[in-house]
Amino acid sequence: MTRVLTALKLACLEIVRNRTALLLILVLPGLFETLIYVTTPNRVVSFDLPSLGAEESIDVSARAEAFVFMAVVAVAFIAGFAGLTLMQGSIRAQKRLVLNGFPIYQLFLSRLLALLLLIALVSVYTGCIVEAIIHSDRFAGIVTGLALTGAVYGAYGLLIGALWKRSLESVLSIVLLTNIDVGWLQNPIFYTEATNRAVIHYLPGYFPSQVAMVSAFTEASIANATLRAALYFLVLLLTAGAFAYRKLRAFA
Amino acid sequence: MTVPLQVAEISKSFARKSVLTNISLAVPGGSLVGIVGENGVGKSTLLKIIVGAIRPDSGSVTRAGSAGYCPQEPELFEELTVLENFMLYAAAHGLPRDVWKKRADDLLGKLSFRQYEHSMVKTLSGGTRQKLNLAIALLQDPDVLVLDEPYAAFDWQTYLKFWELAEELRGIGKSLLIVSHLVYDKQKFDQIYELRSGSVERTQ
Repeated sequence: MTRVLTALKLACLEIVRNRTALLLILVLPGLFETLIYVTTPNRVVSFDLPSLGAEESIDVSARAEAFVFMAVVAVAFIAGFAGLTLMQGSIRAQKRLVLNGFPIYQLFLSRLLALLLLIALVSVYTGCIVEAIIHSDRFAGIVTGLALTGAVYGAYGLLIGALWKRSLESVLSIVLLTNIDVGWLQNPIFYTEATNRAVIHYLPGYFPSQVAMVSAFTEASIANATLRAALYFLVLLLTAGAFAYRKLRAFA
Repeated sequence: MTVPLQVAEISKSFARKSVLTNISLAVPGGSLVGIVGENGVGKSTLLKIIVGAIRPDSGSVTRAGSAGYCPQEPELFEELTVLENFMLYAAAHGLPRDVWKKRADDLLGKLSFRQYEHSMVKTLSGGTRQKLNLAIALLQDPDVLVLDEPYAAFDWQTYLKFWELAEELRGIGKSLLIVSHLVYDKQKFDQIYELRSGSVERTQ
């Protein structure tokens, strides 16, 4: 346990001292929300939320919808990049640690805990920004949606970090999926007009963004979407763990 | 004589290209053994197999006691300070705080880089990184030291200090296996093996 706590503390320091990660954490949520405030009109838009059933449509201001949507995007970007950094940034030093007797599962656990702490922090403060603007009655639900988005994309970042050696391809993988999934297809306004919705349901951002959107604009239950998002996170995490083990294992 | 490190008939290929073929060698206790060879003959691959970083296609490595490994390129946590790197590797070995602090302090002094103990690794020069890289290998006071080009980035003074330290370790019964593409000081080694075309030959 002492070993995990030591590694956890130092993994947190690694993230805090990484200038790019710190910049993303501090700037991205505020920047995205400011851009929405400046560019998005306040007219009412109508969209579907698939978690609520096919016949139910939501009417809210385009700006409020965009605030929640972009908060999800910001958390996904930050978590994906943080996961990637924690796994890939020091992969050779991590392998050396394992050769020196550090159990892989403890090392992976310490870096996962550091990632989850960061996601919790970012989700709460991004949720506070959203709450301050849209005055939702379900702050906890919005934060849960953001945290689940972070967990899913953080696990995806860990997986990419464990799979690929080169940072350029890895960063591209994070940016591409985040952009296509939560940055585009999970936008309820796009989803409402989409011709093949089934594809969108299989993407990692689907359930977490549903939790955030349903919480922000309705009183409906988020239990089902929360559970499925958590399952998605677990599957990605186990896959990342398997690839990390393959990369870090010692043969002595 | 005890043999803390024994390598028996190691072979390794990458993408059907044979790199090592039936390599056998022994590192006796309290000895300094060198492995030399031109660039690309598989010296680092052999060392990685010895420490367990990669798996051989065939053959075996037998180690009696603990081993410290210093890779050719410093493998360190860039965003952590020198002391924090010591702390993390000490955690890997399960060393108590007072033990690793004393050991780290000793190594910082012996390798003359105490002034950098609170500096982040990413801000260090190549030579100082290499000092830390070596110090990490020595942290747990291992029975066998496996060093891959340990003095390549050292200035002359540090190079001399390295050999002082190596002699001191040999004097207290530790074994050192040192890989280099050049061996300037052949007389310092008890044995020298030369890697050539995938096979090994003892030349001293």
